[in-house]
Amino acid sequence: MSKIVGIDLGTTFSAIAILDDLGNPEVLANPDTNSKITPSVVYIGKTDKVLVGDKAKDAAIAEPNRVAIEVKREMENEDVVFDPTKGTFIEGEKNSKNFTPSQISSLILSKLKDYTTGVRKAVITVPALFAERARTATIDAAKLAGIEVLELINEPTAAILHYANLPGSSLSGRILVFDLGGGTFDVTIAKVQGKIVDVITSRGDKHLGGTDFDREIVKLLSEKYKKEKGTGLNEKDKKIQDIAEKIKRILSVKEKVSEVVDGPKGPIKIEITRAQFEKAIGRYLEQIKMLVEDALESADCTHEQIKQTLLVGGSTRVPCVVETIKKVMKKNPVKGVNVDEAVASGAAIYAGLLSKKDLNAAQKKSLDKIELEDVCNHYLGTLVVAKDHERNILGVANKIIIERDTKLPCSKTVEVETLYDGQAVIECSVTQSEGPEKDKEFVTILHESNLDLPKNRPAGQPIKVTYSYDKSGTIHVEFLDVNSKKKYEADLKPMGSQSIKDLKKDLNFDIE
Amino acid sequence: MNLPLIIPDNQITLLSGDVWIVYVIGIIILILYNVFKEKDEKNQLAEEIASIPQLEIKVTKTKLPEEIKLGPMPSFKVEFKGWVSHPTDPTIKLNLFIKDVYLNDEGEEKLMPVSCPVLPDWTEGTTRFLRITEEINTSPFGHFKEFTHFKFIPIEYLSGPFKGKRKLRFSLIATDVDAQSDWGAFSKDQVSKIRHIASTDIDHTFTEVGFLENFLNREQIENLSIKVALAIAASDGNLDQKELNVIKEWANLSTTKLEEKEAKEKKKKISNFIKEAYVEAKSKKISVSGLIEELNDKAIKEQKYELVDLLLKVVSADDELSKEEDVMLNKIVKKLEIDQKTYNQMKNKTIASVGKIETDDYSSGSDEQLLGLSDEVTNEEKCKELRKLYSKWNGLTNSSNKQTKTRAKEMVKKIATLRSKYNC
Ligand SMILES: Nc1ncnc2c1ncn2[C@@H]1O[C@H](COP(=O)(O)OP(=O)(O)O)[C@@H](O)[C@H]1O
Repeated sequence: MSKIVGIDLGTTFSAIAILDDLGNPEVLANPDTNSKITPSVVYIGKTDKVLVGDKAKDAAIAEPNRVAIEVKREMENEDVVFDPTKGTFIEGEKNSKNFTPSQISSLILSKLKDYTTGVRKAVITVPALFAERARTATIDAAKLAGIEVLELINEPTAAILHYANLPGSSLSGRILVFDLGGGTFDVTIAKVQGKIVDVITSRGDKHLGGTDFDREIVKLLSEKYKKEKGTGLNEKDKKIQDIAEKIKRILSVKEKVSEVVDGPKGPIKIEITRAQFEKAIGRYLEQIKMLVEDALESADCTHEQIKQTLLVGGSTRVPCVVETIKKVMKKNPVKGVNVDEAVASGAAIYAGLLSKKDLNAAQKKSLDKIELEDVCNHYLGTLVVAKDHERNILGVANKIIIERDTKLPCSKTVEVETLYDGQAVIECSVTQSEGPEKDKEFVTILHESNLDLPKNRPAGQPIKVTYSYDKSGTIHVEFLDVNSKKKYEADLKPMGSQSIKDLKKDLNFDIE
Repeated sequence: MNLPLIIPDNQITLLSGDVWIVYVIGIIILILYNVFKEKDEKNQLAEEIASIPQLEIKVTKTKLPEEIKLGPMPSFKVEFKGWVSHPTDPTIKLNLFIKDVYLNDEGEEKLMPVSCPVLPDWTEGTTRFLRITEEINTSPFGHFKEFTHFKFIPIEYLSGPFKGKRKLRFSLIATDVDAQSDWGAFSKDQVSKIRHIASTDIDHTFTEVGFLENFLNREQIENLSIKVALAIAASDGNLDQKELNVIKEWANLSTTKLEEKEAKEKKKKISNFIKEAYVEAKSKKISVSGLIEELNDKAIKEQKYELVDLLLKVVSADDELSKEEDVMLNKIVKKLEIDQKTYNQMKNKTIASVGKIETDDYSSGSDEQLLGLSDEVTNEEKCKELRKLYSKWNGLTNSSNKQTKTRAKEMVKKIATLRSKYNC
C-alpha cells in the first residue's frame, strides 16, 4: 500500500511524516537513532558508501571534505556542484566525480524514505519564497529518490495546517507564523477559523537562519583567537563550526560559555557572552523585524489584530529572537509543542487532502473539515514596451499581471496593444519577481515565446494577456490577438528538469 | 455627445367634420389659426436663432476633478458654447489647438504651437503638436446654449516653445470630420472644411525650458553634459581611458542621424571639444555647479536624465562606484532638480551591476548617500524607507543574474546594519 507522506527537507534538519490509520500525522523516527529529526548532512565516501544524518555528522570530524551540508541553500543555483575532495559547493561543470544539489538532496530523501515502507508519493515542503529553480531542483531530487511529488507546500503553511488540525486546537482569527530554521526565515499571516486556513501573505529571507548565527560566532571566536595568538582561525573548518553551534545552543539557556578551540597556534579556551552574540547577530534581528513589519503591512493589519504568534523552527529557541518578536508584536509568542515536527506533520496532512480517494473512512473523517486557501507568493508579469512618463522615453518594462498575495486560484487579464504599423509578431514573456519591479533587469524570465500576427495591420491592435494560477502552482498563460483570434498558450508548472537518468547513474550507493 | 437640436415643426394637422358649414368655418378658423401659429413659430425660431452666439471658448485654470483619478493636477478647463452646426453632415469635428503668441523681430504677432509629448492621442500624430479632437453629432441647427465642458488639460502634459511668462491662444475649430491639420494649422485645401472658429487668450508661465529654445541650444547642452561627465570622471583623482570612451561614445550618438559628411565633421568637432575639456577637467578647472546652473537654464527634463544616465555609465566604467563619485553624483542630481525617486531607480541598476561599491562601512553617512536616503526626513520615515529598500534587495537575492544576486546580499547587509542604528 502506498502511504500518505509529507517530508520537511530542511537546511539543517529533515523529517518525514505519514498519516496514520486514524488520519493523524505521525513523524517517523530514524530506526537506528530513534530520533525524529535527521541532520541534512551527507557524507560521500571514497568507496560507494554514503552516510546521511547523524552518522554523516560524525564522519565529518575525520573527513570534513567528504561531507555536504546546507545543500538546500544551493538548490537555486544551476551551475554549482559538490566536490567531495573540497568539502564545499563550487561553481563548475557536472562530472561523474561531483554532485549537483539535487543529487545530494536525493540522498537525504532516500534515507528518509527508508524509515518505513511504501513511500511512493509525497508532499515536500519548501520555504515560501523559494525560487522557481529551487522548486524544480527539489522535484528532481524527489524523482532521483524514486518519490513522486504530489505537490510542494510552503513550510509556514504546512505548520499552520498542523496546528489548526491538533486535537482541541483553539486557533482562530489572524495568526502569524514565525518560522526561523537553520537556513531560512519565513513569516506568514493566515486567517484561521476552526480547520479552515486562509493564508493572507508570506514574507521571507532565504539567507537568514541558525547557520548564519553560527558563522557570526565563528567570527567572534576567530577574532578572540587572533587577539591572543596573533592569527585567526580557519572559518571554514567544520570542527570550529560545530563548536560555534554548540556555543549558540548553550547561550540559549546560559549567559556565557567557555569552550576550548583548537587553532593553527594550538588550543585555547575562549569565552563568549550572550551579549556579544546578540550584538553580532544584530543585523539579522533587524531583518527579522523588517520582514514581520512588512508582512503586517501587506496583510493590512496591526500587531493588535494578530491573535497569536506561533513559533516554528529550531532557531526560535534563541532568546533574543523571541525578544525581537515581542518588541514588534507587543506580546509573547506561543511556543509550539514540537517546533521541529510541525512542518513535516502539516505536509502529511496536505498529502492526505490531495489524495482523498486513497484514504480510509477514518482518515477521511479526520481530514473532513480541513480547508486550505493559499496565495501567490510572487509577482507575475510580462515584458512590454512602455512609456516612462517622468523621463519621457519608451523602453522595455515589466507589466505586472498577477500581484503577490492574490488568492489562489486566480485569473487576471490585462489588455495591451501592438506597437507599430504592420507588426507581425509579439513576444510572449512570463516574468516573476519578489517585488513590484518595473525594470526588466530585476525580474526573472520564466518563459519566452513568440506569437505570429496577421501582417499589414495598423498599430494599436488589442492583445489580451491572461494568466491563471491554480492551487498546485501551475500557471496557465494566454496571449490572445483579439481581432484575429490567434493565440499563444502555455502551462508553466514546477516540474523536474534534467534528464534524471544521467543523474541517477552516479548514485549507485549504499545509503546508511 | 448629444446635442439639443431645434427642428422646426412645419407639419400642420387638419381637422375634419360632418356639417359643411361647420367644416368651412372650421377650415377658415383653422387657416387663420395656422397662419398665426406659423407666423408666431417662425418669429420665435428666428429670434431664437438670432440669439445663438457664434462659437465661443472659455478657458479657466483649475485642478483635475476627482473622477479623473489622476490626482488633483493643475489643469486648463476648456468649455465652449454657440453654433456647432453643419449644413449637410450629421457629425462635426471639434479641434482644439494651443499656441504660444510671440512677437518676431519685426514686432509682428506670430504663433507657435504648444506640444504634448506625453500623450500621442492628443497630438497631430505626425508632429508632437497638441491637437485634441472630438466628433459630435450635429445638424444645420446644432448649437449649445450654455457653456459646455470640452476637456481638462493637465498643464504638466504641455510643453511650450519658450520658458517663462507667455500668452497662450486656445483655438477651438469646428471642421468637417475629414479635415486634417498640419503643424497646428489647416492648409489651403483644408480651409473650406472649417465651419466655426473660436479663440481666447490666457496668460501662463512655463517653468520648463521651451522646446524651441532647447532645439536651438542642443549642441551647447551636449557640450555642457560632456564637461560635467569629464569632471565627475576626474573626481576620483584619475581620469582613465574607459571613462573617456564612455563619454566619447555618448557624444557621438548625436551624429548617427546625420549624413556621412556632416557626421564626420561633427565627430571631429566633438573630438576637439572633448580634448580641450579633458585638459580642463584634469587640472580640475571645471566648475560643476556653474555648468549645472547653465543646464538648468537651458536643458529640458529628458536631457537632464540623459546626462544622469551618462554620469552613471561614467562612474561605473571602471567597474567600481567610489565614494567620491557617489557623493558628487548625488550633489549633481540634487542641483539638477530631477525626481529623486526616478534617480534612485536608475542608480539601483548601476548598483546591481557594477563590480564593486566603495563605501565607508556604516559610518560617515556614505551608506545613506548610496541608498539615496534623504537627511531631511524623520527617523521614522527613514525606518520605513529602509524597510522598503530591504524588501527590494532581499527580493533580488533571488535574481538569476549572479552579479545582481551577490550585490543584493551585500545591500541587504548594508541596509539591515544601517537600520539597526536608527532604533526603528
Ligand atoms: N537550543 C537551540 N538554541 C539555538 N539554536 C538552536 C537550538 N536548537 C536548534 N537550533 C538551531 O535551529 C536550526 C535548525 O532548525 P530547524 O527548524 O530544524 O531548521 P531547518 O528545518 O531549516 O533545518 C539550526 O541552526 C540549529 O542550530
